Amino acid sequence: MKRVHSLLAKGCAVALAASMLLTACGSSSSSTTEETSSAATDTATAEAASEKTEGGTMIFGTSDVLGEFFSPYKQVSLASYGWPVYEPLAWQRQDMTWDPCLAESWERDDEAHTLTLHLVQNATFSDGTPMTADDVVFSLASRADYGTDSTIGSPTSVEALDDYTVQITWDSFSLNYEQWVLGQFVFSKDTFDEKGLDWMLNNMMGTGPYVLEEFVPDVSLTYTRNENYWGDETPAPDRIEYLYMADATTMLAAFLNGEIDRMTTSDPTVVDQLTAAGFEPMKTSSGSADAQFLAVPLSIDENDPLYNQEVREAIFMYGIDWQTMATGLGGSLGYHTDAIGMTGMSYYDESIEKSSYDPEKAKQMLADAGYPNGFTTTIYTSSPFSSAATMLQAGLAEIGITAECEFVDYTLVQSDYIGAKATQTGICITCLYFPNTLQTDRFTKHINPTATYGASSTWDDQIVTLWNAVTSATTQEEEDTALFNYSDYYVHTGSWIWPMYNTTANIFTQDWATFTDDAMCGTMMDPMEMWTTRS
Amino acid sequence: MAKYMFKRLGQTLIIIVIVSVLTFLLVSLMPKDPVYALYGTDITQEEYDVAFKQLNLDKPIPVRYLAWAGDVLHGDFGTSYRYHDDVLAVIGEKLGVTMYLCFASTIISFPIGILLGVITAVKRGKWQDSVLTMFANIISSIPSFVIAIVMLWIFCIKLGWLPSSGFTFPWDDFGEHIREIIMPLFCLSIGGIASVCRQTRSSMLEAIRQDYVRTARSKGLKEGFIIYKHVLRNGLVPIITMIGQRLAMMMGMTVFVENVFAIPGIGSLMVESVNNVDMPVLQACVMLSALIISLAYLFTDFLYVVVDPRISLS
Repeated sequence: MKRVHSLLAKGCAVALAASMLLTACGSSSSSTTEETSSAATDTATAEAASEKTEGGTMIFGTSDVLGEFFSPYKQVSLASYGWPVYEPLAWQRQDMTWDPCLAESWERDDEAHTLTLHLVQNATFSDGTPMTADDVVFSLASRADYGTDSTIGSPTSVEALDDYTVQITWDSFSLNYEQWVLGQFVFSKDTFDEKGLDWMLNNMMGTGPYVLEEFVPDVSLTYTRNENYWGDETPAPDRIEYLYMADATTMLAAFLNGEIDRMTTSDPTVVDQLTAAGFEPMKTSSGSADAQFLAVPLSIDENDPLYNQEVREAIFMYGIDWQTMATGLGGSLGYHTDAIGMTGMSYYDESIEKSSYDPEKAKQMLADAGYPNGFTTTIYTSSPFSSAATMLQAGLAEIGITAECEFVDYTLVQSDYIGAKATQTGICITCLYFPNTLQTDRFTKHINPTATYGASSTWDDQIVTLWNAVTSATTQEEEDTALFNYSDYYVHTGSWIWPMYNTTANIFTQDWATFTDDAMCGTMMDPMEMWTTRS
Repeated sequence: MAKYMFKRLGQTLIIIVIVSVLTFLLVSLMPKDPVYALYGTDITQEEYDVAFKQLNLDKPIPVRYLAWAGDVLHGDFGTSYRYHDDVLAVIGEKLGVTMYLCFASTIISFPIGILLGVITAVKRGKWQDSVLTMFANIISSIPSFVIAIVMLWIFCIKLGWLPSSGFTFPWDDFGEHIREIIMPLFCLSIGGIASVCRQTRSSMLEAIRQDYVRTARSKGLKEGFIIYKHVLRNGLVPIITMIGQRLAMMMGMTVFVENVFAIPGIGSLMVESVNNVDMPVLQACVMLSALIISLAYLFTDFLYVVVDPRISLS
């Protein structure tokens, strides 16, 4: 007994000493992290490959939910992880131009409201069956069956003119025909007919250079080379793997440990830790899913202060220091713009920046509107945006407005607190994502007179007039001008919605993984433009 | 014994039914919009209406429950809204992982906890007792997810010794399994070790004071024999009670640990199901948890009989 206790005492002493030693090691500089990160991966080198290197496994970390591999059925993030197997009709490069892929050419007819696609004639699915117009028609037209055709502008018809020509028709003119259609994946109609919806949701049959090797729900997706790929060029990596990590800390740990080659984050804390560890975010011009946080005054009651346009103007134009809020919440990634969307959007012009922080002017305007002592209101939002709510609450307090914060589930924000469905008074904080700078479509989808954020009871006829100018634009220039006027009026004149701050998704990669500028195609990636020295 | 078993199984069934009703009600009344939760907030009103009908959300709660209960009696737990697969298939894939974690943690924490508890009881008042008791008290007060994040930071981010995530069964790749399981198993076990240690100490001290121990000593029996044969044996009953309690707690702790270490178990499945309002899966997971916990308590009842012949199930 004595010997056992003696040994145990010594063991405890060793354990205590070891933990102290580990803690000391843990407090060393970031170079230790980098050295350890490199050392942790025996099979990877720390030098970027300047020439395309064949072979290896490219590993991505993702917090996107993996699964449901048939995007006509439901709008999921298939584009962000399905690109090794599925190919789009065309790749949209960083400069917003289109590179043909499954569609070798296309033309639009603005009079007839059509987009005609001419398909490549040698593309095949991984089972060897040829891709034809029927597959493209199926991929686009089936969206109407599942109620997701708004993503392609709700066309009135999609038809095959011959085996390799598809024509899509809409009921009105839009500048977005290409934007709606060209980035869509093509699914195999024969496979759907033979195996059904459930199979399509849980498996993949595409024309791409990879095939699905293994899918473990909530864990990973693994792709291997498609030996029957139809294209002339072949991708470099032998395998591509997606690892699902719901927790941001876990993904950060995995990246710093060298377990994953690429990660995307918009969390400023995570970005700071990565930059402190010596990593720099990749520069992308496509925006790569910027998020804009919006304050939406719920002005449904005539007696509520926020029903008064002067009150809204006082608060949003002059009452809050938006830039300070942007940097406080978004860190180095955060910025404020008066424009709805991103500063890189095609309609953006600096002349739209009209707000300025002037709390004394805001107080005077409130007094002129009949609220010299301020008033009480409520801020509604979901808990992930609690910091934004708290900062807004503090900003309002500076100009004499007392605000309570009430947190509701994010799904209820959308269903009960926005636009025509709102039954409360106050200010709602929500978020819109903009995948790239040409996504004015998202702007117009949500912020038009009939959409989610629309139908405010305080609107005037001018907003409808301005919106009609947007929908009737026949050139990009016309649309940009109309959108500018619409956004300007919406935000500055009516203050029916107010852009609080924007954050940008940042992409970090390991030194041994190469992604050319052409690799990034919005949320998709072109597999021909990446390689790794990880074996 | 058979009568007792039937009685307990009957009670278990009643518990499962009550749990299913309460769970269905709570999930249905959750302040979440299931359509937006499943399809995202980017959908149009038209898409929303289509999805609303597809999910049968236009029917009243009692109607939906009865329809679901009827299917369950036929062994059909429904189809997962998110995975589009049979619920039992979805759960089955992940149940093995969580059960492995729970049992491995139990097998590790109880023997070590009992051993440490014996030491602290025998060495009552001495430095070994002080150190181990302090250790147990500190560990008991730290939540498992805090331990998980700290371990992740030390062993993964700072040292790079262990992987941050993943799970491999030992028969697939034993080396990889060990590397992946160290941190999650430590997080799950350390709390149990501390709790069992404290309970064992308490039980042992209670038993040591009994007359039969004094009698055994006066008979000249060796101290070690007295401790392990008489004192520990009599002090085991409250410790065995902890097995059921510990298993119940483990089902909750796995939620945190599986999420932090990206382990595809029932815990992370339940979190995803809540976030996505995947009602069929959530229902089945809660019922399964209730069943496992009930069976765990039933198992501890039988263990009482094994450990203490004075106890009779009748």
